[in-house]
Amino acid sequence: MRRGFPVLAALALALCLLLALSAGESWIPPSGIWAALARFDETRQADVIVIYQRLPRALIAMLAGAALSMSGAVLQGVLRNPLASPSLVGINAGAALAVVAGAFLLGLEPRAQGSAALAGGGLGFLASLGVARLAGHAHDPRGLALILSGAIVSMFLGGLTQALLLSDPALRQDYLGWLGGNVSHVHAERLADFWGLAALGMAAMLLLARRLSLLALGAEKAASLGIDVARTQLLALGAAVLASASAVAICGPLGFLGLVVPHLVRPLTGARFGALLPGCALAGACLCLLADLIARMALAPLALHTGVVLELLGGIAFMLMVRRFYLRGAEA
Amino acid sequence: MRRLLMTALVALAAIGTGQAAEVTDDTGRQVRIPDDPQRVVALHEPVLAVPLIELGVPVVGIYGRGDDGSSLTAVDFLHEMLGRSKDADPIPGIGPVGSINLEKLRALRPDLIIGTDYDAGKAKALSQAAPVYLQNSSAATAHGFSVQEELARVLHREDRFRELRAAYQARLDGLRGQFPDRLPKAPGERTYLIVMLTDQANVVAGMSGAVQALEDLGYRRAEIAGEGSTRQSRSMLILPIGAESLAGLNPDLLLVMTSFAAPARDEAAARAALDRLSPGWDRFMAPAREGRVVFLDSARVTSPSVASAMHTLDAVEGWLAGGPR
Amino acid sequence: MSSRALDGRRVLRLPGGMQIGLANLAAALALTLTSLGLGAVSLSWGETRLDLLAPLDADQAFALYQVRLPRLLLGFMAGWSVALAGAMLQSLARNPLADPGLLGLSQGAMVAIMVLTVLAPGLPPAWLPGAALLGGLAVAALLLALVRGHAGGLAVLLMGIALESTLSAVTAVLVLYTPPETSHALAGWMAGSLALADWPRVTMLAPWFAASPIAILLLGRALRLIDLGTPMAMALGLDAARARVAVLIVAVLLSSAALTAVGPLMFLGVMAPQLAAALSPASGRARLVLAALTGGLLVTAADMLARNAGTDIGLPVGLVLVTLGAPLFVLAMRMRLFLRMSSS
Repeated sequence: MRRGFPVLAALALALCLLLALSAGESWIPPSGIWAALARFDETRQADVIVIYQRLPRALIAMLAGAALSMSGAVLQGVLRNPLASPSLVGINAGAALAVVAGAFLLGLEPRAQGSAALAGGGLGFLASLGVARLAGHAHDPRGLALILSGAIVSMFLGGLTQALLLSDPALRQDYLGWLGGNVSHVHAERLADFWGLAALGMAAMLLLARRLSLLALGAEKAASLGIDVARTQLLALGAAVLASASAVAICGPLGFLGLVVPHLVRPLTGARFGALLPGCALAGACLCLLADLIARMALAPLALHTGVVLELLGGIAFMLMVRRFYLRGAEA
Repeated sequence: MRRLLMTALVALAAIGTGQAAEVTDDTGRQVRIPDDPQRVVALHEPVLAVPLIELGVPVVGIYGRGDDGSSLTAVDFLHEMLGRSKDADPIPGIGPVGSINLEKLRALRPDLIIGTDYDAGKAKALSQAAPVYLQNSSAATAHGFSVQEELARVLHREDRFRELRAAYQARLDGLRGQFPDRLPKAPGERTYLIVMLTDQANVVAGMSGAVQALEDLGYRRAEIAGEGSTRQSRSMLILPIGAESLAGLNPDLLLVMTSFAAPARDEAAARAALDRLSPGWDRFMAPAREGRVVFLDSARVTSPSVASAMHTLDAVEGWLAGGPR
Repeated sequence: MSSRALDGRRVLRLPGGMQIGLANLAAALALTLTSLGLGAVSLSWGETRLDLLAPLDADQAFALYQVRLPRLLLGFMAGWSVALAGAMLQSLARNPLADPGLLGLSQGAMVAIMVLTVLAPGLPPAWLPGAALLGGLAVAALLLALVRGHAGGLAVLLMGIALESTLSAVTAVLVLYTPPETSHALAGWMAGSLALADWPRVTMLAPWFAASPIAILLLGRALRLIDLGTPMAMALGLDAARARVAVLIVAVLLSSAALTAVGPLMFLGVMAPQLAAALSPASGRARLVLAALTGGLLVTAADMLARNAGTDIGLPVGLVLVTLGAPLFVLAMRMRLFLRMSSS
């Protein structure tokens, strides 16, 4: 299974992509999709829908899914915390606040909002770490203090974001949808602006894969094998923040993926990062496409945001995971 | 003797006016409202203040305006819908957006406060300043400019409403006479849909003057595929739909507008918004291909008043005069 | 840390051998509160300037008795309730970061209120408190059911976070169904707002507020049980699980009542107890009381700031709390760390 997983995952992704391009208000058969891609005819409505609406949407979903899932895997590995994920350690909330603050307070253009998102994501993460340390849980083997602080920090940053939104009703309209995690073709320009950053983050994480695997053995062991522990950790966390903050800059904060995908993939690929990370990317892209499909079709013609669907699913998944990880055995 | 009787009657009548009447408002509350209120405060600008001012009711305070009479929200509805300049006759507000300052409200010395049924939670608190009358305005209960009609009845301005309505009717008849072939001949013969564009498309229903105008022109609201499945959606004022559903809409008349918080609300802005949401709309949407799209200014047509209905007729007239494409 | 001095007064022993009489502390805080209240009155809020010595005319009397006083009282009571609930939950979870909002209790109440508002918009507002309470209790019950058998603190917290994010997604879907007029009003209320403070709301919240000291008295034992920890409690033959449930229920009732009156006051349940603990370490019932007092004062202060900020957009008090509270929270936690380190 482990050997075959990447191939299977890639196949699954291709299928999901096909599904995402076919399904919607009108069902476009594969032949129609092929026609759109190969012999684009702008007078054919199906072609326009595929190329201008569904394809950008699918690309955004895949990129965000991959970036967030990989970030989640790295966070879980470095922080040694099975519940770590970009949304639970304050990265998503920080990036979202930075983008909104940039747009509302500084009038930043979308291009510049990417840098704001990065800064915000990093700061959000640092804030969570800081609060966790202040809570004084030095002897906290399960790393739960970080999750709690992350949740508190996210709550706080979310409140600030809402406050900023209230201050300008005109801009509020634009960003309210984005804040809910709107994987829509309307954000295609953002995709063009920020995909490079996300790819950079993901590439960096892949490059660090071998070292991360060694790190998982334990700090001392890794150091004895010649790994610069602190530097590796710093680089890996930075890459994770880069990737997830860029994803947030494109389509708004999306939860669930960074948390659950690594857990789903780990039994199938093993804990080695060299296999885990690509697996997470593929699986994350798949899941995000599927979630987007649900968001589009579930309450048709009403349009739901993908982020809302992910949060709904994510909450349930989180509950199951808490039961699995923390409620086995007596716990005081 | 007769003269004495007449004088007595007149005297009695004089005592009779200036009193208040006990009425039941739309949420079932018993309210004692003055027969001829001179200082009315409205809790909602497009839904209440605009119809009231058009009826000639003296409005001295509106929620959502600043102390100097300028609008605190993105749009100055009084200016857009009624052409009022704030410098000429500023009407102050009753606190910042999001909360009502009871002290400011009281300082205006209102003798009547009019709110919508959504203000039911505040009614008790506000009645400390003046009697509060709540007017139904939800999409399920109000339609077209029924809100204005009701308010006219409650505040004894039926004459004024009749005048406004007559002018409106004359305009309708004029349009019918000018373009007999392009408008529906029987009521409900053709369908319409109003779409408001934000970062997604929203189908608008219910109670605005635009709806009134369209129905009087002979259109009825088109059904949207799948809409019937959600019971709630029938009473929804705004129904967000997906971009692909937008492309599939095909009523006999499609009216498009940007939201009133958008930086620009003209036709060019609406076209740009459509380009973003549904690229190629002008080629693929049947109404667009066949010239059945009318662009509205959301800040002008969304109040339940004759003024909004007239603005809608302006837009429709512009479309009709553009000639068949 | 609380003990009895020789003459029977309850005192607090601080590091450095200092003692503060609990009664003194309470008096000091009460005095601060009164001065706040007075200060509010003699400040020039809006256009009317109230001078306490001059007789009040009708407008000023209206302003004072119908507007400011209920607002002050409501804010204090809501802050008290939320902070108290937070302090109880922190005992329950044995973690300083527990908060009614974090556990999804506020979300449960909000969802209940929103469902009612959407399905029955003309419903008299008298139904809402009951709905909020039911919503909060339902979430609490769900929480307990999900962690059944392991009612340990961390499990409760984590499960609470999971519930909270699910419910907030449900809220997001419900918002889709609310008409736009209500959604802006809801946005303000969802951040916690004293804009609608009036005597009926005060009387709605007052019984809960008045009952809370009784709850504190009765739960003192329960809390001590929880502090001991399950194994110890079991060894002593005491039922810690029941105590936990009782504390949870009281916390839910308090926070839901406050939520109905004022909207969710996010973060206060974490902030106020931390601040109180940093200013004056205490344990047991004294800790609860101080936390509650701090909560009430914080809300009153935040409300004063929110009202006098002079912005065009009304600032909900919840937002001011969150914005200002964070640095205070960080400060408080640092102080506690310092105190703990210096006393060990």
